[in-house]
Amino acid sequence: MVDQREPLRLFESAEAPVQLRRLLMRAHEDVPSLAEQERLVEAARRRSTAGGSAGATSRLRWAARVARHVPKLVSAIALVGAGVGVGVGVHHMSEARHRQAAMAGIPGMPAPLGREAPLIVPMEAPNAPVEDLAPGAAQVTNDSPRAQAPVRPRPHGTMPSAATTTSDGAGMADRSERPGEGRGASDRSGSGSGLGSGSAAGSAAGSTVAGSSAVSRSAASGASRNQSTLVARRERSPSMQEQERSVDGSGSGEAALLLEARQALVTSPARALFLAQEHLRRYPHGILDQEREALTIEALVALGKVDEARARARAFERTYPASPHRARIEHALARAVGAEKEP
Amino acid sequence: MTRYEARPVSEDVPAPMPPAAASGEKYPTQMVADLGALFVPQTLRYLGVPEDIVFDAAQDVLVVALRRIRDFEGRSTLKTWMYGICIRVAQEQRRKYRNRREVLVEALPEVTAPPSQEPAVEKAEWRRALCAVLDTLTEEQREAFVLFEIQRLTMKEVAEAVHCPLATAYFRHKAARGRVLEAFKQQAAEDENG
Repeated sequence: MVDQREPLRLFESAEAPVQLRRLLMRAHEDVPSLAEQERLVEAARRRSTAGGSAGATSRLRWAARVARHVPKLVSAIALVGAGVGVGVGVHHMSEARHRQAAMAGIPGMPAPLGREAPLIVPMEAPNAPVEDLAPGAAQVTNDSPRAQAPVRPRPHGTMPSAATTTSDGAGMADRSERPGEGRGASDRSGSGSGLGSGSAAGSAAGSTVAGSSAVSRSAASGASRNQSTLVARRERSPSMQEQERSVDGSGSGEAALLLEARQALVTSPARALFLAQEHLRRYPHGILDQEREALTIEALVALGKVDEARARARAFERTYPASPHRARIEHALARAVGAEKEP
Repeated sequence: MTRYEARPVSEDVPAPMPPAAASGEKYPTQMVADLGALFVPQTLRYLGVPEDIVFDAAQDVLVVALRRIRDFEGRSTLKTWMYGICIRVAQEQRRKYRNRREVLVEALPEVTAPPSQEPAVEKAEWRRALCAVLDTLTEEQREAFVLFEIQRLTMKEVAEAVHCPLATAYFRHKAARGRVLEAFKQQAAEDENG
């Protein structure tokens, strides 16, 4: 609580040192001389009457103040304009990328806002029936909520496959919900020849030649190509890899593609192999690498290329020693060996 | 029946109207200018306006007062009204001075003066000493201290001039007083130590 009695002034208080009291008394008497006062009054009167009315003067002063801040205002507007321009440019670039991805037919990629991008079926294998392409979207959406939105219905009116989702397909959908899991167990830098051969196969599948010819070429790819592809993959800048991942960060597009491949495995192993290589081409740093490799090996077994399948299986084992897909691969190889012995 | 108590006469009651009030102008401009010229430069100086622009700033105060005297409604005394203008102009000048691009020195360099100018030099010396002590205060504390201790207004007038509640004015003055005493003692000790 402040004491509201008029306090004793310092110049008359014993509390203050003598020098301070003297200073305060001198300051109190420090008024301008008469001549200074007269000059001051004269100048002030001249100024107050000069320049018309007070309102006009204040308006002029306001205008001068505004004019002083004009350069700052202009630079601020320029900065804001530049920022908006950059924002619009980035938006256009991302929209163009989305459109390009939709044109390429990536299943999980939504069409750009306000327009429906045509869905192009990616390089159909010659012996694959149209029904095989049905992605089984209903099964995926039931198992995986995140896979629900991006998977679009096929445009040519094919119904989703009536077959129930296999346990592998469900596994893929589950993995697509946890993008980091599949990659966490694998050592990307030390992926070795297993992934390298997969990359080579993918580069072969990137050509316009579709179908079994591409499969055979990719199957026959040599170690030198593997090495060059590995180097090319390692030389990719982190930003490029990030861009590739951001095409579909959820992995649902990958899952849909591999699900198609999985469903084609029984009826058309060549198409399954082709789709697996297509997956490698589109998602070289995807989150379903293990699924793709397992599927490739199974497709090779189904096509009778047991030696190549075995080589890939060995590479897979080295790369993913703790993979849950190993049992399936071993089972497929064992079945292939049994089939060889039967005749 | 309600009893009305007679209002005590105090020094806070405004001075009687000058004769010019009858002619429609409450306070003649000459009176305003003369009154301002007497205390405005001194007030501005101790409120922290730099010495080289004290008289320019005082002119600003008088020009504002002369232009607005017609709008003066008499809700405060003429004196506190003019002190209020002083305070606003001083704040503006301090702000402008802070934003200047030139590098300012805190103290003017020592000058040699002929014997006839010795009183002026001595005056400049003690002004600088007092301003150095006042510089340790915050803006609000300084206003309360200068108006009460140097201009010798009452605390109520101080509150009117700085547009704050009376209790706030007391509080600011008390804080300023303590800080001034402390700063002065510290300065004296530094002077003794050389």
